[in-house]
Amino acid sequence: MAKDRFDVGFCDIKVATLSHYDKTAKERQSQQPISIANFISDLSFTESINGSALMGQMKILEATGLLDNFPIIGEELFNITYIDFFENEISQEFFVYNVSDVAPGEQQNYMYYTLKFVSTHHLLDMSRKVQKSYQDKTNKEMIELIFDEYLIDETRFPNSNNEIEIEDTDGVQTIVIPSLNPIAAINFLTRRSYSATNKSSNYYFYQTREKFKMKTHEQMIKDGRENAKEYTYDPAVHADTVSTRDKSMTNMLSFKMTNRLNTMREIASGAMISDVVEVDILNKQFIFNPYSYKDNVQDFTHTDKTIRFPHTEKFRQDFFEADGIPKSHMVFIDAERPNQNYTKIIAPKISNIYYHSELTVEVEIYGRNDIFAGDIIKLNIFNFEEIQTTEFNGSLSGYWLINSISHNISVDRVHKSTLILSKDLALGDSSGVSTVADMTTEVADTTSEFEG
Amino acid sequence: MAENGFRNLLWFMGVVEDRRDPRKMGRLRIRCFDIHPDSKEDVPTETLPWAIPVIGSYDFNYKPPIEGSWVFGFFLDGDDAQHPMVLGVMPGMPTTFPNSTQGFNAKADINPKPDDAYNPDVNRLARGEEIDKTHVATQHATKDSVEPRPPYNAQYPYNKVQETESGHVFEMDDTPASERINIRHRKGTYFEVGPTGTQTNKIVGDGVTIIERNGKVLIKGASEVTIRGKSNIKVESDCNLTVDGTMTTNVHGDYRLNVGGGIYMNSGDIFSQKSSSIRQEAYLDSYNLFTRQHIVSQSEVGNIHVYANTGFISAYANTDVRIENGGNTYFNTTGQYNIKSANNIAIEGAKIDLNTSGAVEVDPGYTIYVKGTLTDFVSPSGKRDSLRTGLGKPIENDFPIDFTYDDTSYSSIADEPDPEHAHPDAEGI
Repeated sequence: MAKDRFDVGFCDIKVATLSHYDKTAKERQSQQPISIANFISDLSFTESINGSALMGQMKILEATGLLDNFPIIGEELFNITYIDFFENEISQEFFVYNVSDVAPGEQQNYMYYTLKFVSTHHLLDMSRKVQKSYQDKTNKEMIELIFDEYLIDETRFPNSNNEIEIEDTDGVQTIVIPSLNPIAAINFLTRRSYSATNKSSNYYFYQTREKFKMKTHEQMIKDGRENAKEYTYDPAVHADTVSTRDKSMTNMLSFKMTNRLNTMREIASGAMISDVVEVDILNKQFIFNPYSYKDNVQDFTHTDKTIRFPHTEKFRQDFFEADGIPKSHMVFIDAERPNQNYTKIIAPKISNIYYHSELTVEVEIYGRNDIFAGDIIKLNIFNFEEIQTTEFNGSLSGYWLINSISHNISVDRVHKSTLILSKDLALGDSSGVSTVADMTTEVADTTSEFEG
Repeated sequence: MAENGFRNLLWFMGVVEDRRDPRKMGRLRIRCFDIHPDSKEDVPTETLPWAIPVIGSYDFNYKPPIEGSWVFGFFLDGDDAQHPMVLGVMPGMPTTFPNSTQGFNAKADINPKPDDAYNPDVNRLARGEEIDKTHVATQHATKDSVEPRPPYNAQYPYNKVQETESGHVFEMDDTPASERINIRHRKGTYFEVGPTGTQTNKIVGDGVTIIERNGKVLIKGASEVTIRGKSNIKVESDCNLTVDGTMTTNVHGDYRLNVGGGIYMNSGDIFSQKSSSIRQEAYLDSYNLFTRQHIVSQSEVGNIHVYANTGFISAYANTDVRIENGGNTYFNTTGQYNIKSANNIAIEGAKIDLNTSGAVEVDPGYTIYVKGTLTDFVSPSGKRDSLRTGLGKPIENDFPIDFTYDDTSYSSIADEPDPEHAHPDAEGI
């Protein structure tokens, strides 16, 4: 619960220090980490389900000649502890890898520059290669082994958060990792992972400020529904009074729909209908595996309970089915290596990627430290109509998946976050996440209703 | 997955670590530089994906490169690198010895062989170098007069050589004026055709030739066959041997000719037999000797015996019968002794002595002429004794003289016949 003394969007950088990685040099043995909290005029970092490592940057304004006197030589660790309006405190360790935009102040008695930083795991990732085979293991087990061996180094980075959450994958495999960086190797395995539970098998590997995660889009929806934070878009709410302070913290500062439909991309990607052609050279087999989203839509977990099946029957027939299959994916299967599941992975994943991002919005909220990329958030958005009603907009309201979240802490320590959200193009039943069992009939009903 | 990789192939170079494809389809396990580590602990050979060969010769029965070979290929699935295909091998010159405990080496220390270090992968026979380390050095090593000297005179790059890891060699040599074909087994058996078309077949082990149907051999020049061991030739049907010139058979041991049927020997000229001793026996039937002209039996130092064990001896001549000998002549019979002539009978001797215990009957049809002096007839008993004294002892028990008839059975000149199949037509003769 927020304290009354905190302003809306409050954020306090309690600790922000730079320290040398190599402390063995004689002149550095007694050198303490230098605090730069007062030098930070602007701090931002981004986490995304499409990004495997946390990255950020901060604008420094200082008059101590830190660059040359400390000095900053590209080996510095950046430790930060910050607290939000709700008193959620986060401590993190980053590696500073770049100095840019160095410019003097107006009186030439101070200077501006930007320090860019990444998680220490990213530094480990860049400096290591995985060339190893894993025999008769699930992809989950392989990812755990790679993560533990290559991305954790408690000796060098004792303050790093090495927590990871990995969703189960099905089928054991034997794979030789072909000389990839650890994160690339994990992404390689993520791409090839199959889930019998979450049929889209649309796995993501990403790092949030909380931990690393490797999970499917569908599992994110299932896990995030229960504790989804709820936000309302009401421009009438003002943050300038104490009484409206809490309400402002759950009110969207801005709302922008960045995408709604893209039929050309839908056709080109093969999201609606596609064909996975398996070529088995060893057994001289050439197998066509046609896939239709229409036939499989009920197998997926969606953000909203009720979804609209895309396009009219006539349009589908004329532009997706009549002239053949627009998208074909050729894969080579190794008949001697089981559980490759290419057909079960590729086509559903492509469909899932498109239809789960068919509707994307960008919203800005006051920042907080307890929402992360991959979480579910619930939005309440009224209809944008001349005649105002108290009903929420059917397609915009409901559950959304946080694809990315960019945090910005300004010089006056106001924390704002920009969220990129996505969801199915839903009709707007926001009562909960759908299940396979009760969605089948609803999809059919909705489709016929829509066609009618 | 390969949906993008096929259009963005990942090329590789690597070393063959395993060619023992369980499917026997020519696939290889290849450790690829910059893709796989050299640690067999991190990536054991058996976890490497099988690379499918792309056979440019369009021959499915291609020869997979042996372990340790450097190869070139690509991954069908691009950067994912799980579906390799191999295009071919790259020759080089090994300058290190294999270490099978490390990656990029053969599983066993076979390639390169110790002798091959600092030698190009191209075969010595193809290069025409260090020939003393090749099979050519062992060819003709026995100095056998029959085996020709090796016609090897290869010059790079004319000799196309395939040598297997165990040492079998196949050469197709196009070296000008030294063109050859050589197929050689590691044990030394080889077939070689030299530049003049001379062909040598040498078998260091046993040799077997089987022709399921008819066979023909035509040798337009002279031929020579030397068999240093025992030789058996069996013709399971008829056999015809035609010699347009002279045929000479030299047998340093015995010569045994066993014939189940008849023996028909025809000669357009003389039929001559010569041996230290000759014995001919017709053990069931007659011995017939026919000539158009004379029959001459001549014994240089011994006797001539004609013996009929149970039958008689007869001699017929259309003209004279002459018996001449330098010693005595004896006719001895247990039966009657008859001399009959359609014409005169002349007995001429220094003295003619007729001795009989019976009467001497003279029954001329006409007149008896006695040119000498007739003496008084005396009683036979008194006269005969005096005559015997004049002639010496009778010799009735001395015939035949110095001759023992060999009545041993047929086995004396052939294998012992089966008692139940004593006839010479029987098998085993």
